Amino acid sequence: MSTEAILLIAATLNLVLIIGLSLSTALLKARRERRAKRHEEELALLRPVMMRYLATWEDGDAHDLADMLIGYRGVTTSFEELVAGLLPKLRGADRSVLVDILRRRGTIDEARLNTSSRVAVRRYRAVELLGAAGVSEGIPEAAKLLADHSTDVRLAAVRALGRIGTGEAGAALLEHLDSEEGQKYPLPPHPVTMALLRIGADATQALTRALDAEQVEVRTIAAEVLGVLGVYPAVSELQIRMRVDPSVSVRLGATHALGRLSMPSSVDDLTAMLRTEEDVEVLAAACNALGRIIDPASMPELEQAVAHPHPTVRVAAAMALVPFGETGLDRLREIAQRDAAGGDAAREVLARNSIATNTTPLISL
Amino acid sequence: MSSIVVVDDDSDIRGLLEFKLSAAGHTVTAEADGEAGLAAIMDVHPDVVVLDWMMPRMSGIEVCLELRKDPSMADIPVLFLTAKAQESDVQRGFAAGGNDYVIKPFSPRELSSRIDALLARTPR
Repeated sequence: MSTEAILLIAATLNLVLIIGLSLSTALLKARRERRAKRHEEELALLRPVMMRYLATWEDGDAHDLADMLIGYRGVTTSFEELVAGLLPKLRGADRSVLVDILRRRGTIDEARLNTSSRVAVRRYRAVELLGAAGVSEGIPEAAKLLADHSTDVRLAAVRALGRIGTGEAGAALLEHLDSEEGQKYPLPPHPVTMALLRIGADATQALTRALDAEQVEVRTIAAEVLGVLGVYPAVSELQIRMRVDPSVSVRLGATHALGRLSMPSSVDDLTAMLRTEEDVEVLAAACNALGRIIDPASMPELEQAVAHPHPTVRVAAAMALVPFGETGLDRLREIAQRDAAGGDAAREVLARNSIATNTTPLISL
Repeated sequence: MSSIVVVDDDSDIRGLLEFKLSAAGHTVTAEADGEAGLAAIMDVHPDVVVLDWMMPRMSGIEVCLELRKDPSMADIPVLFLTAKAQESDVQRGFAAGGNDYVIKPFSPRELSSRIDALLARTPR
């Protein structure tokens, strides 16, 4: 075969390939457009029915609308999209009515099944819907997806458990984090913390148990969240964590929490920390906590901490003396006379206090 | 029957309130941004305005301040319906001249009751 003939065949094959690819692209595009149009048509049909039902369900004569919504079988995911968009905007009975419609048309059960889909987008949508609906029967499926290989799905599962918002959802989240699977498929601490805060008081028991978790990260999150939620019954467990935990981040989390809770029963442990703790951040947090509790018994330890070798601790201790009022300020003025051993921190804090309270500094820098 | 202007850039919320308040016997005008909302209020002179805070072109706060500047519309009750939930936000809403403040996510039933209460308190 001549070179010209080979080139001609190659060019023809190329042309056929290009035409074939162009045709299939055009077909795909047309199919997508048809689907998008159908989706919009379905939404245009469904939206007014849904709105009318939500506006009139109380009157007791909206059964036909409910039946229409329950029986509706669309070609696209328009119904689920409409409901998923509405649920986060509503609360109270109107929201419950919408969740009831989802249950009765089998959407919740379908979402639970779809959490096992091979397609990540389906798993994501399913767990988002379970979270938006806030249905506790979705907890096992959402918990399972915490170990999904897709990070987006894992994060959606965390959000879903936070939205479901029961103690069981909080326990599932914390237990996963402390498990082997939790180590294999890690979750960033911020969304986990936000989910636990959203669950709130219902997560108290699971959080208190998690103070004894194996993983440092779990104990740290539990301590911090217990403090933010103001769980006073956890004070003694937090005191133990602060005293004995081998991890600096857990001791720090527990110290922050004890500061937020500001219970006088923590003073002995906090002052003992000032004598024994080596980590600068934990020491500063202990000073802050004592400054919140304002127990005069802690003043001598705070005065000693003003002379700490590290400036962060010195300033934290000096600032902790300010809430004690004139007594604390007098102690700072005495310390400020020194050239070393905390004089610098005392002078800075006194100057700051003068600016904040708009008074004349009694000692010059 | 009272006339109500709803200004919210969320089409779901606009649609829901249109149906809900119409079903309660009110005449509802709905707009999707602050500028169009202000124009509708000037046009309709409604009995109550439901205002979102964060909207394109003109915020709900700006709309409310404009209303309070105009003596012919200064007395129209304004109910803020917004996701801004901080204590300082609520204070700002009332300082701008709002008469009531509802935080999203919200209960349409509660909102309807609050509108009725505003209407009952307003001399017509």
